[in-house]
Amino acid sequence: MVPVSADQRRRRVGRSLVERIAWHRATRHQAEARSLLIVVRNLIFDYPTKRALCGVSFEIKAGTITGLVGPNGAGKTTLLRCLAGLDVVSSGTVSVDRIDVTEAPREVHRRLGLLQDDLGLYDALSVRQSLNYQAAAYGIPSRDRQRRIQDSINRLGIADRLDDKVGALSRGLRQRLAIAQAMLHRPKVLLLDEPASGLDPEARANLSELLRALGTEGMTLMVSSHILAELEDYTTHMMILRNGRVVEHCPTRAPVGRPRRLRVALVQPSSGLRQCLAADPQVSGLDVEGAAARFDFTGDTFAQAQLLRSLIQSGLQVATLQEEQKSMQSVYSEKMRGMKR
Amino acid sequence: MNPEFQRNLWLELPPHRMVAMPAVLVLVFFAAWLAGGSISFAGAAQLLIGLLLIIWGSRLAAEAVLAEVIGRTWDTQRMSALGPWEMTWGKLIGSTAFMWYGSIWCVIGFLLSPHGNFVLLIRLLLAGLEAQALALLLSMVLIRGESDSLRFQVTIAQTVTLLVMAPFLFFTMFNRPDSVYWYGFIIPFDAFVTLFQLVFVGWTVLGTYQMLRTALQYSKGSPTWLMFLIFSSAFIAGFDHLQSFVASAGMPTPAVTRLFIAFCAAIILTYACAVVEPKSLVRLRQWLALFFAGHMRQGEHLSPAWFAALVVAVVLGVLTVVNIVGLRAPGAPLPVGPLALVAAVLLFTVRDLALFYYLVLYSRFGGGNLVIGVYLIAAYFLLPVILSSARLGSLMPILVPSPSGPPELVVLPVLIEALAAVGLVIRRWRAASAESPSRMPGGL
Ligand SMILES: Nc1ncnc2c1ncn2[C@@H]1O[C@H](COP(=O)(O)OP(=O)(O)OP(=O)(O)O)[C@@H](O)[C@H]1O
Ligand SMILES: [Mg+2]
Repeated sequence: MVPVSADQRRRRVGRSLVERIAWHRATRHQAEARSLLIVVRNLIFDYPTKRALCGVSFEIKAGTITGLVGPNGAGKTTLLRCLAGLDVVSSGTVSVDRIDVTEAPREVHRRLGLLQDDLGLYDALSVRQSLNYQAAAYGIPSRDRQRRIQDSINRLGIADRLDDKVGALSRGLRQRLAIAQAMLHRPKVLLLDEPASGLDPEARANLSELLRALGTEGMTLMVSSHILAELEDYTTHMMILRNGRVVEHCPTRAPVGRPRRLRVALVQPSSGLRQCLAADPQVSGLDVEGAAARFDFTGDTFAQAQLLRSLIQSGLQVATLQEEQKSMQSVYSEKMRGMKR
Repeated sequence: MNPEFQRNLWLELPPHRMVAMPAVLVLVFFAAWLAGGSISFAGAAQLLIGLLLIIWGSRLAAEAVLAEVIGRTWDTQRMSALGPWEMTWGKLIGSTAFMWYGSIWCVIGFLLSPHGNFVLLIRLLLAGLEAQALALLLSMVLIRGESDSLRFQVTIAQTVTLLVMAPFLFFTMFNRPDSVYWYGFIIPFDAFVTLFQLVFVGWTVLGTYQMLRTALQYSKGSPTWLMFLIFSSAFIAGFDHLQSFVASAGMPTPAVTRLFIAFCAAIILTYACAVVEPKSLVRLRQWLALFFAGHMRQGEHLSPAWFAALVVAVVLGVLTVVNIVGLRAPGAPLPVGPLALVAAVLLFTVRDLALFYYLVLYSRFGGGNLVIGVYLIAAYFLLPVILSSARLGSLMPILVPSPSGPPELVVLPVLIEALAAVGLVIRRWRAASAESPSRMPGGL
């Protein structure tokens, strides 16, 4: 919300209703515009021999985590580089935090961290030297440096590797060091190009955890990845890129208040299932198939627990009851199939 | 401390190197002392400084940015908060820190020897800085291309640096006249050279700084390059010895001869740029788009280096022509020979520039520069030699700009060639644009 001064409040008293509604609308509009951190309009990017982005437009709100997916060569890396102001766009505009990337790239760089797909590390330096260099080069005041570095390496789990040569690290550890470097200067926007590649399952889980935490701390993230199942864990939005075009940009979680699609499965088919579900007023769109049933459910998770109890109480052998998210994988495959047709 | 310098020190001066360098040098000095007493002691020190600072140092300086590009760290640097000046000296002195460290030991050795020439030492150290700055500057120019073989670019930058430094070193170290005649002044040689070196270092460092400013996206071009072109044309025109060198051009007065020399200098710089600078078609396309849209200033950083040089050459050429025409005695006929010469030089340049781009567009797989080299040798060396050995010397004006010879033979053939070459390159460019993703600008 926009802070309202006492003076403004006083002036608002006695205004007509119409005026007041208009005022509210305008401020809400402003607030919305302010929460848009990345705005891209008709972005075109040409390589010498290929048009990699053909008129991309989208907006990204502050505090969101957007998963950027698409087949190889779709233009994900190119898009992230354009957002970071590393490549000069052929036409169109990109603004980050309301700063035009083409006009003031240096300003944008300060607000932005980028993990490149090829990492860009100095093999001959030690991990400690790399981090110290990064901190100094990105203008972190010297009194904060050690604290920031400590914080980053703890989060990435590389604290015991400080004196190793970067060139001697494994692929996964290099990846973690690169992520630690990218977030060292606490950017407003963090762009990560395939951060999970090369990480072991535990490190991946940790990474998901870290990215979620960064999101809740208010950082806005854009993460390109081919591992959809993992993106699902922490992203709030998904953007599908294909042949240099955005073919889908949507929230990954259903907004609160909308019905959720649930799936219940019994151990064996039972006629009681349909009756029992149909009796619940919060259930609609029922679709029974053998021992399982799918339906839209308007209640919250407490209501869901209540439903489960009533199913069990009526003697049904319930194996599972779970939310059936339209998984990213299914949206993705759907889109890809749709495009081919 | 400058983080870029610090990082370079970590890389270049680890403890084992700090020990190894003096150890090796002391051995070399000892060998020199055994071989020939104190004279070769000073000689060894000089040789080592030259080797360390000029030969090896130019390689390291050329690698300073190219290694970042190869190692994919350049983009991280470009996004960092490092400023262009920090970057300039951090890279220039940092990447060669090991060499400078070794040179300190050589200087100590030099000072210990009773036969050392102090002026020569200063000049050698300055030459080292010059070579390194030039190599760094050239590497910044070379990364503008779309070459895949970046390793090779290091060698190119170093080779060009050494080619520029070699005649300079020859004239300052071995063949030393007493004084220099420059714009009619008689200047002691040592003072002139030292001053020249300082100015040269100044220009190269300034150039590197401006290139880095552009690479770090602080600015879109600056007048530095244009100023350098004007400066160097005027500088070269100052040498009085060159007057007799171009006497056959038949310019009416010494002042016009100077203008003509400046014009030739600008032409040579145009060729040098056109050969050395990577001919990036993407940059050219973007530049032309801005140029034809009337945004010349925004496109300045994209313009090929030869363009400004050619503009300076054309201005100097026009000035020369205006002076030739204006200075003739009333009623006297136009001195056609010198006028035809200026026109021919410009036309040869336009023809060759068009052909260079044609060759680059044609050999898209690369190797454009090699073909250009072959072409230049054939056009300006082999063919004239063949022609003169075939006793057809009178046809020479067709092949090279000539001050003597009938004006129509001097101008007409090359005019036709230039028009044909420009026509060819426009056709080729159109064909390439039809294949390329975005429409080429300017209706070309
Ligand atoms: N330097 C380049 N020169 C020419 N074409 C390029 C260059 N880099 C990328 N491309 C092309 O641009 C398109 C987009 O590439 P980009 O690297 O952005 O894809 P991506 O979505 O990141 O792919 P991946 O999933 O493989 O990382 C591809 O068709 C690629 O071939
Ligand atoms: Mg990619």
